[in-house]
Amino acid sequence: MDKKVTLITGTSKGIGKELVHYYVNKGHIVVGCSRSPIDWQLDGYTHHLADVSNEKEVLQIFKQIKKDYGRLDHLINNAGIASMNHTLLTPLATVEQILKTNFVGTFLFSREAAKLMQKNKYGRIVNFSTVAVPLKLEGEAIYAASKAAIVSLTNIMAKEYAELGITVNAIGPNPILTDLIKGVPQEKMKALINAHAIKRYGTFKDVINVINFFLKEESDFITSQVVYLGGL
Amino acid sequence: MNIVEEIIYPVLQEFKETEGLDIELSPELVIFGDGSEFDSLTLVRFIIGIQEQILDLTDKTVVLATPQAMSRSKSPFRNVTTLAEYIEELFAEAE
Ligand SMILES: NC(=O)c1ccc[n+]([C@@H]2O[C@H](COP(=O)([O-])OP(=O)(O)OC[C@H]3O[C@@H](n4cnc5c(N)ncnc54)[C@H](OP(=O)(O)O)[C@@H]3O)[C@@H](O)[C@H]2O)c1
Repeated sequence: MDKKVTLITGTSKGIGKELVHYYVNKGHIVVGCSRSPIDWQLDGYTHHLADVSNEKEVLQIFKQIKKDYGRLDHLINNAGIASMNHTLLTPLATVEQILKTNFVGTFLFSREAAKLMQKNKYGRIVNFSTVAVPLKLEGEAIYAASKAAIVSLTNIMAKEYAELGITVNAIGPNPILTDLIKGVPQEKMKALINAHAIKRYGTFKDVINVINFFLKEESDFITSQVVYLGGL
Repeated sequence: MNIVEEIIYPVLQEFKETEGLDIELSPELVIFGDGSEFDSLTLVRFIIGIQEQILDLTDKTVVLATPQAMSRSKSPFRNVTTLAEYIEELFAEAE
């Protein structure tokens, strides 16, 4: 059987980097991107320097995937940024940056991926939302709104792509110790974790477990779902 | 470049073969609207196919279904001829 081709965004560090290593070890051909260069290397992995919200750069990645492999099986829209602030204090530039990376980036990659996937009538798209959406966290209005938009996008793309053999699902991680949340005060984190059924930080393994379920060939009847870690 | 022969017909031919579309390739072939053999999803996939064919042959990235194109009183997607004229127009604009 051909090796699966898996595209992951935001792979220089954090969850994305971990996903790259996991899926390369699993035998996938993995392609990824981030704005800054990576300080590590891995056989079976190709890195692109690209901003997920830059259409030109995104199209270039897909052109290369088409040329190198002629197909794409999985897309994991992991790239994301957060910024904690009261809305009264949030500059427009921050709002635009968050929406561009989290929402526009997810849209662009999904659109281009689906174009490639539909040729084989097979594909799996996994998006990243967050528990901040159902928890309606104060101080995270813009981040949560951008991730709520991803839920809507997931639900509607799932319908639009169903006949093309492509499923679209989302994971909503709870706090996981990466750079993304390093600026959040300890107390806030505790309160957030206590709002969950299972009160602990999430781990990379927890994320991988959910993504594996969405990517499975047998999950062809699983679409438009959002799985929140930790129980909300 | 002959847009009908080199861009549109090859894509239609592929759809005919892979999707079993019951169509005859001709300049009058209706693509969108009354009398079209394309359902909405096939139409979307056909437009993607045309964009890709253009990219492969000319290295140009064109977007066919722009809001302007969709709101024209005479749809550029009506038939093979109108589509070819529209693509020609987009090529001219890009120059
Ligand atoms: N960690 C958590 O607690 C948590 C909770 C809920 C949801 N999530 C979601 O999980 C995903 C991964 O987060 P993480 O914790 O791993 O964050 P992270 O450690 O900050 O890593 C984010 C990655 O995304 C890349 N990135 C950011 N903006 C980008 C852009 N415009 N274009 C391309 N790449 C970009 C970054 O690389 P560059 O900066 O080099 O571009 C980096 O590789 C995000 O979508 C986040 O919202 C995380």
